[in-house]
Amino acid sequence: MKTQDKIPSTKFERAVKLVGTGAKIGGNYLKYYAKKSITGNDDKTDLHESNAEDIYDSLSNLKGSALKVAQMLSMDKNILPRAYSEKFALSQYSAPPMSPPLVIKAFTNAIGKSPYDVFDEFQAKSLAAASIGQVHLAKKDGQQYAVKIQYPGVSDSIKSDLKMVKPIANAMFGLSEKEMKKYFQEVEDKLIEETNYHLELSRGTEIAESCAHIENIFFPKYYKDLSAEKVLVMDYLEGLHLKEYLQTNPTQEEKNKLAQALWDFYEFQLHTLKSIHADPHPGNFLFTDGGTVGVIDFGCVKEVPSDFYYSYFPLLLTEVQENPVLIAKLMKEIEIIFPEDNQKIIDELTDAFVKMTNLLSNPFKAEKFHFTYEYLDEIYAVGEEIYQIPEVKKPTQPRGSKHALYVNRTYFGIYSIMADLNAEINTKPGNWKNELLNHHNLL
Amino acid sequence: MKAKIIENYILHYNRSGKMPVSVFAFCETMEMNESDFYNEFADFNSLESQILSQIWTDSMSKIVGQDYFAECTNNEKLLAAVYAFVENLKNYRSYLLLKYKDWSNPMEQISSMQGLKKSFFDFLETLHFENKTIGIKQVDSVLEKGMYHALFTNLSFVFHFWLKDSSKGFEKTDACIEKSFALSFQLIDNNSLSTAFDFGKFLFSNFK
Repeated sequence: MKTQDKIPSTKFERAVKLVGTGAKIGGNYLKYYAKKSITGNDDKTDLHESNAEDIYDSLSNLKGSALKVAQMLSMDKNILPRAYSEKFALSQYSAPPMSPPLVIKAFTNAIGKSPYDVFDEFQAKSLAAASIGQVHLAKKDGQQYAVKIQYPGVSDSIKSDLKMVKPIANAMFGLSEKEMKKYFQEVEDKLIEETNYHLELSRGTEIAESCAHIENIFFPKYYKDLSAEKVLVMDYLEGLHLKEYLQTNPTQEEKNKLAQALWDFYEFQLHTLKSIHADPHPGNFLFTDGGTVGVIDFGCVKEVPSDFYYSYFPLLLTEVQENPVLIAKLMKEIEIIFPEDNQKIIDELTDAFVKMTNLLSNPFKAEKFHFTYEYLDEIYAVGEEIYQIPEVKKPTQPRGSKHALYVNRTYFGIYSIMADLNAEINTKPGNWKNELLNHHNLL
Repeated sequence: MKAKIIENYILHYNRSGKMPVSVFAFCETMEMNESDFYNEFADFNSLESQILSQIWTDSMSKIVGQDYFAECTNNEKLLAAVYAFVENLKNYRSYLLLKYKDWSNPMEQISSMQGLKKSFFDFLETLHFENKTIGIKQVDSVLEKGMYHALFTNLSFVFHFWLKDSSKGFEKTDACIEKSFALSFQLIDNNSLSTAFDFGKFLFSNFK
């Protein structure tokens, strides 16, 4: 892990850092336009790369919610050009750690006993940063535990951190403050939920219980007696992060087995539980050479409201995509089209959206589907194309339900993991397809 | 005896919000001889100046013997000491708020922190920090003092932050300790003190 040579310590310093980034990005755009006017070259790759670098340099010096936002943006590979997302992907692994004395104090305050009294062994140096906390390894009676400890004061700093990230996000997506507001609210709410480890414990336990029947997937057991609002104790799971796992050259058969397990897990959560583990970043999945995958971190769980579910997911079905009347209705329900929109905007947005969902629903059209990088690139390309539509580039009002934010992020994350595994798996929709069709009287 | 006198004094102060009218009256409530009081303190002011220092040494006795403490680096030891100190301060918060919150006289403030400063310096001595030296004994000793003073300024900053902290469990103070000392350690590691000294020397020799 690359150590930082400087940790921004005050809010002021953080703000200066981010303002600095804004200025640098401005500079990058200037360079781009200068180059374009001289050479006529419209290739934005350089621009994206230097922007990504500057944003990453600045965000990786921050901890807590800013890191979280960086992670979040890096998951949305579909919105972000490659250069951004690759740089951001780095931020998913490292943040400056808490000092060992603080770790011990935080644990002792929360549990009432020192970690050395509770466990036979406790590593005061952290294993990994978890954006709003960090994870420590502990042992007792030969068993290994992962102890997650939250950074003090992190819940209070979320609001101010987000305020500082806003201008950058606005600049990156070309959106106004107003446009971003409802999405930022959603992110803020989710981040605040994440700071409550009691909630994570109960959600993790519930999801693990209801998904126990899914093959080849496993979860840590959480220990209520040893956990508190800011300390969470669970089993330590063995396994490798995706990138490391792939370096061990596993067979395609085994990769398919893992991919199938993950796919089934998300299908079940979304369509049966209507509540999903919404943080599919690579550190949260632990792959084993037995072809099983462990899932950790239930801090970010998105409950999918019923209204949204019945308006959004039908769009993935061919039967619905061929039904213009129903599409028009659904587009309004998911807040992409508004009654006051003129016909040109309606047509443009509807066409673009249907094109995208049509592409995204490829896996559901056949018994089996092969996830490749070519498929992902196709999605990126359509995403770029959609982004060129003036009403998407500079929207006159916020478009798209806020609920889509975490759902999309999750599914893009899953698609991208599937492609990394080069997975060829069974993706035929289960009962949910008929249920959705039935709901809209299409059966 | 010393600890007991301090304890009773704080009790009195918490209830009445002011110093006892006389050492005699105070000793009477404690059923002790006035002379026993003077064996420990000259007057109430000297007693007050030792309260923080007493809290500091109590906190140190709790952590220094621990296995974990022995394995810490110097910076970590110092942090552990500060965390233990702030934890222990909670037991005296009412008194400290009465005494320090609406401070109007800076001289009084400085004098009542003197005891703490001494105990803190004693503690720093035990750590044997590896200083950035420039090889001249007298100068190095000034630099070392400079470092001690800088760290003490940091400690008093944390103390005043804690007095104003209204977060649950004073968790913001924890964050404040973590961040402010990280900065202090960085400044010390970067040799800024000797740089500052070097600059001072330059000014001194060129702009008399």
